[in-house]
Amino acid sequence: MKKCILTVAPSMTDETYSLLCEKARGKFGDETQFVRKNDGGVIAGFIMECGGEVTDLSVGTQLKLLKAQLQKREG
Amino acid sequence: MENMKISAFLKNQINSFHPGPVVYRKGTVVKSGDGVVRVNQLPGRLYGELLEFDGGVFGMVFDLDEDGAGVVLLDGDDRVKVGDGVKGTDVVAEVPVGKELLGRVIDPIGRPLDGKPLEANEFYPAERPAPAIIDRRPVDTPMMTGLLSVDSMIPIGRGQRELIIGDRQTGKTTIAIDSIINQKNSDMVCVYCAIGQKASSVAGVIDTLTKAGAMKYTTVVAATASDSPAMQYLAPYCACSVAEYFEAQGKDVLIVYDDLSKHAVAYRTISLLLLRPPGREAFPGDIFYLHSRLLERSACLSHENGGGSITALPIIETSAGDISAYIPTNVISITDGQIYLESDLFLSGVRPAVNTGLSVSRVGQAAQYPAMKAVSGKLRIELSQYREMAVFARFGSDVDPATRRMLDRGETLVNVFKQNRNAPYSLFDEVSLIEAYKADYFAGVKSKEFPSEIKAFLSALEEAVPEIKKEVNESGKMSDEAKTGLEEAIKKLADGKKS
Amino acid sequence: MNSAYSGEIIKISGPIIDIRFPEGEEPRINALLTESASGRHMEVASHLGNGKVRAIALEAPEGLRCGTTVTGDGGGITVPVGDAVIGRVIDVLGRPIDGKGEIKTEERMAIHRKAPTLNEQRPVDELLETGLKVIDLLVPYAKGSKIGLFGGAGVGKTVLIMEMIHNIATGHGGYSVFTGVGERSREGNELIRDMENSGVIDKAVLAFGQMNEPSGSRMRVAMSGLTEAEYLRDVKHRDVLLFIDNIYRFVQAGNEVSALLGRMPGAVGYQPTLAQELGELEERIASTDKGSITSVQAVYVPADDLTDPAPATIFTHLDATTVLSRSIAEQGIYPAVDPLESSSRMLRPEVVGEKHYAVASAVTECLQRYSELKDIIAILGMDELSAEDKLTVMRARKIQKFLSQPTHVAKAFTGQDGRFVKVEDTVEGFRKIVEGEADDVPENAFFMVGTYEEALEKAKTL
Repeated sequence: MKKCILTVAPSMTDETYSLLCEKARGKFGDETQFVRKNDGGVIAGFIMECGGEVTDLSVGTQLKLLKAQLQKREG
Repeated sequence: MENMKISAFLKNQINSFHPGPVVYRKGTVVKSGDGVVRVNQLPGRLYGELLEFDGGVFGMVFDLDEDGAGVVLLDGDDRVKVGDGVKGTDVVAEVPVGKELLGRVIDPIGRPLDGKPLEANEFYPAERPAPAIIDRRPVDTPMMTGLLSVDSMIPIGRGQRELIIGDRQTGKTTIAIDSIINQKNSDMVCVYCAIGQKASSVAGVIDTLTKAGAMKYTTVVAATASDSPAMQYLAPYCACSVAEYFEAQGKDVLIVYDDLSKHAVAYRTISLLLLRPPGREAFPGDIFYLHSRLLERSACLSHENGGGSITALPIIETSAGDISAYIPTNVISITDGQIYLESDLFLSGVRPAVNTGLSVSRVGQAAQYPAMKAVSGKLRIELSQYREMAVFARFGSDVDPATRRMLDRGETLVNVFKQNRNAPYSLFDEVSLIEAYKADYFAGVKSKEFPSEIKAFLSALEEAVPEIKKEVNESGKMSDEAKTGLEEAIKKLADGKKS
Repeated sequence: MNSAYSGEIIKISGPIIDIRFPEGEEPRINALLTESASGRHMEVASHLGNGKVRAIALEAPEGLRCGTTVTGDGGGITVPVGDAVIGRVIDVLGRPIDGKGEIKTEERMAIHRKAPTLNEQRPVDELLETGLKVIDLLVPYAKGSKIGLFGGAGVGKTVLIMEMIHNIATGHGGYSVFTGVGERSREGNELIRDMENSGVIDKAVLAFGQMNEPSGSRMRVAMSGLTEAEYLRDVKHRDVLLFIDNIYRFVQAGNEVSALLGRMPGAVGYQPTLAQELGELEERIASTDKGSITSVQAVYVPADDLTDPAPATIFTHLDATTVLSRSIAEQGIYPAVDPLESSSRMLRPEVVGEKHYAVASAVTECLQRYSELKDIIAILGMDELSAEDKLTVMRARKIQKFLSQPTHVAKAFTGQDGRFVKVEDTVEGFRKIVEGEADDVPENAFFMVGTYEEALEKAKTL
């Protein structure tokens, strides 16, 4: 039985969260257990970690990447 | 930049930014100490993979099992704690390669150490297979060190591995650096790999190379004494990959590994910390393979494979002159010869402190320009006979005139071979010095006077026969007319001295 | 490949890979396995219980993962054999590495085989002429015997092997098998070129696992080459010349994996199974009722220490030993054979004849006496010797120089053509020296020449 950690913004509603878990169950299997972690840095979207495989679809990370790219060009 | 331009710039950047999911594999640190970390999970972990820990610290996978991995940190071992996360990078240790590397100083994984950013387009893995037996060709072109004693009696060819071995402070690094400096008139590219050296020593080397104008064709790959054993372990393999990029373009590359004794010690440290069983002198059983697979990557490629080459000058430091110790004999049995430097010679002023009796180049005369081959044949024998005689002469002062003459000539020859550091000779200079010695030009010159005598001789010769100098340096050969011309010029200078 | 056995990698530690199979379905020891993703090969070394198997990688482990599948048909490493292999160069797994395309043959033989039984063994006493004076006179080789070539780093071993391949194989008419074990790839390249240029390759099979390869490959390539020789002996009923350069590397490779396999270290850190591993290999190199294998094995001596367990154990398997000495090489005498350290069981009057035996004994005694007198000479000078001893010394010095000889393969270094000297001429030439017929000839006339007559010619020019 797999355990998955979903890191989301504290502002994400329970409804949206349940929808997310349902979709994820489709991918990882019905017996998957989900654990919710709140992190303001996510801003929107989520980071899913299952058995060491991480899929990061959070806006927070995308902004960090954009910032890094801009800094590189300037330097 | 004005406001308008800034916002246009930003808009452009944002438009060209393509967001997408960031996918990676993750594990957790469960044990950390002595630069070795035990990591759990991290699915799909690869043997030899580079891992990134929270905080930007890198490590390399050295042991894999069902539950996780044994990782050796590349830096900052005090920054990794139990509970920290670690990401897989999908990449087995690799190094940036390309023209951009020339003139630069990097660490083994390509991070610049000279203060400027490095943009590389290509990466080679640190571990690469050596050229197949069938893809090689015999060594046939000289690699001139610019050191008279080496080029005349222990000649090195492109694609050869020649070991520089001796106790500490015997001039090993100097021989390697002088060889790099001497390539400024050749088409060779150079790589200097520092393993476990003091940062100040490496800085000194870079300074010497820069002042000599050698940095523009050289890359320095450095893992200093304060770097982790894993970095020191990786350094020569990464440096070799840098060299292999140029070799693949058909170029001839010279690579210096300074030094492999420290490399062996770094690998021993890693193995012992990973609890791998110790063998002789506590080194792991595969210590031979550590160096054999590295040095076998230095080779001379066949023309069908581009004709490039990598010449290696690995350095080994001995203890009390013991070349029969474990690591030295291992590396001697890998390389194609050795230049043996002796403390006694060094301290008594014979520099380069080469012991020609114990030094050898197995590639032999195939690696000499015809001009040098023609004049250097008997030098080794003369030197060895001199050394034998000199031992006897010490027992009594009464020697017959023939022996006296041999002793005097031998002493002169030893003095002719003495050379200042960072002052390599051209081929013509070397050939002329040998011809001058044979013509007894330096007879009667006292030891102290040699450096200035040689300097004066070489500049006088350059003035007298510049066209012969050009011919020899450019073609590597000396025609009969050139030989006669040189002999006459030397005779003239000798006569001029007497008067 | 038939996947009768299928397992999963569970642990990787350098060249050692642990694999889990369904319990009761483990492939046997020495089975060859292939990793599914990269095609890399490994060989089963031991069973750990509970379906777990420990294997040795035959190719570099970088980039392997735990969890990937490994398969095998239960068989061990096999190499192609037969006419299609003659003239070809293979690696430890029998794959061609000479760029000349596939080796087209159906026949393959496993490299793990048993040695011939006591009944099948056939001792051979026929002399094998090498054309090299020092060998033919003092340490003669016999067809079917096992000859060891000992020397530390850089004393001319490989050059001597190539000279023997040249002299014996060229005139021999039999087949040669050359196995490069853990030596330099450069030397492998030069050997292949030389053999192609001289045509010797048309009667030879070459196998290489050089020092750039991981330990598993170096451990097994000696057997791959040996298997080719065994085929030629047992199936083609030929006289085979087998060269191995360098048998020490076989032991060294075994040493590399031994500790990682969990064995306790033996003497000087070697594997506790040293004698056994060597025995199993060496006993296969034998002459039988089907044909003969004459082997010449180069033996590296670590740290110049002949008492090291590896060379010491190898000694016991040999019929003749040719020891190369650094001090003789430093005097410029090549081949740098030390006549007092080398030996051969063939040096008996029943085998070489009375005259040869008498001359060889006289030469050895002379050299022995000279080496005893050397210290006296060094301290007190020649004048302190008796007239008889002075004569011995003079003759000994001539003998030493006459034992040197220009070789065909070292022509690039010496500038001289090689010489093949017939045994009769060798024996006669040395007889003349020990019996005083050469007392008026300057000693330098004997340096780097072939026959006695050549020395006399050279004396005229001195």
